[in-house]
Amino acid sequence: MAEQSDQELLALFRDSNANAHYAFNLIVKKYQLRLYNHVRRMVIVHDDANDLVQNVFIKVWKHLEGFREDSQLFTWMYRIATNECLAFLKQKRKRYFLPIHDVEAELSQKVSSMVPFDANKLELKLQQAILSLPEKQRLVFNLRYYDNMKYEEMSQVLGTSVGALKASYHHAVNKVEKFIKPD
Amino acid sequence: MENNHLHKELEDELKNAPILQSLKGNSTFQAPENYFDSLISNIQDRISSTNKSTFVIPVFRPAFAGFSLALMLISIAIIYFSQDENKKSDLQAQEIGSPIIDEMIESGYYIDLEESHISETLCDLQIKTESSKTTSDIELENYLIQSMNETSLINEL
Repeated sequence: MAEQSDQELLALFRDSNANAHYAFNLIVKKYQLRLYNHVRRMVIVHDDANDLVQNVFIKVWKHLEGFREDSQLFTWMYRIATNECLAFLKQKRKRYFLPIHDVEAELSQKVSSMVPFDANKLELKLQQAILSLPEKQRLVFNLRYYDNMKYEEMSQVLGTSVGALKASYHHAVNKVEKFIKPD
Repeated sequence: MENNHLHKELEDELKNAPILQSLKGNSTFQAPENYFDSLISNIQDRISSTNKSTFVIPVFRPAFAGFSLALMLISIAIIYFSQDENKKSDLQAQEIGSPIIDEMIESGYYIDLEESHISETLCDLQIKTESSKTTSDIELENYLIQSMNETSLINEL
């Protein structure tokens, strides 16, 4: 069965004769992997990512009726997911009174202890390199490098100009490559 | 065609980063097995539980706070004015002194007034008048009563 477009899913959701839960479940099915990966890359730990992903979809459910379609559905959901991640990381800092770099150091340690990375040191170094980037730059890098997101779409997600995003990604690529290059 | 253009852009951006190029496309973090099979039902359960949440009085909502404040002010006003009414009725009882009673009698309202009411009112006035005396007035009276003999009192009348 061919995947339905966002417009079709929205129309189904808003159709009073159709079951809204059914349409919503189709939306979840379509975007759950992408949103999970996006969130997981930011917060690293699966349990945290699971909570945040559920929060994202619950917010989507609550506000889908009023979604004005001035952006695409998936950029809107990505924006919700991004805001959830940033709020989570901010809360994490406040809870432990840690300055910014310590939270990332903590996440970097967690990455090191994850089983898949035992076999692939380069992959582990890449993740540590990404974690060393400032938060917003890390988002830009992940969205471009992993999600292959267009800058115009990324601009809607992050609320930053296309030019600034291009520059940010360019610098991020240089920094990460330098970090993971063998000495 | 648009995808081809995007693909070319992505490649160009990594042309000076060969290691990143080689690692591109690797799935970094793995979700637990069957995680996505149960995610939808977990989300639906949470949606159902939020729909059943208990009613919470939004105390800090501006509208509710405004309503509470208005109710409080109205209650205070009712209590204040009801006390005020009681005072007024007391005043009215005091104000209905003998001049008013005289007037009422002259104008014919005396028929409706019972004598006991008039006497009660006059007694009340007298009691209040006496109770409003100062200590020096009482002392003076006692002095006069003690000083003056019966003959002098009769002569005075």
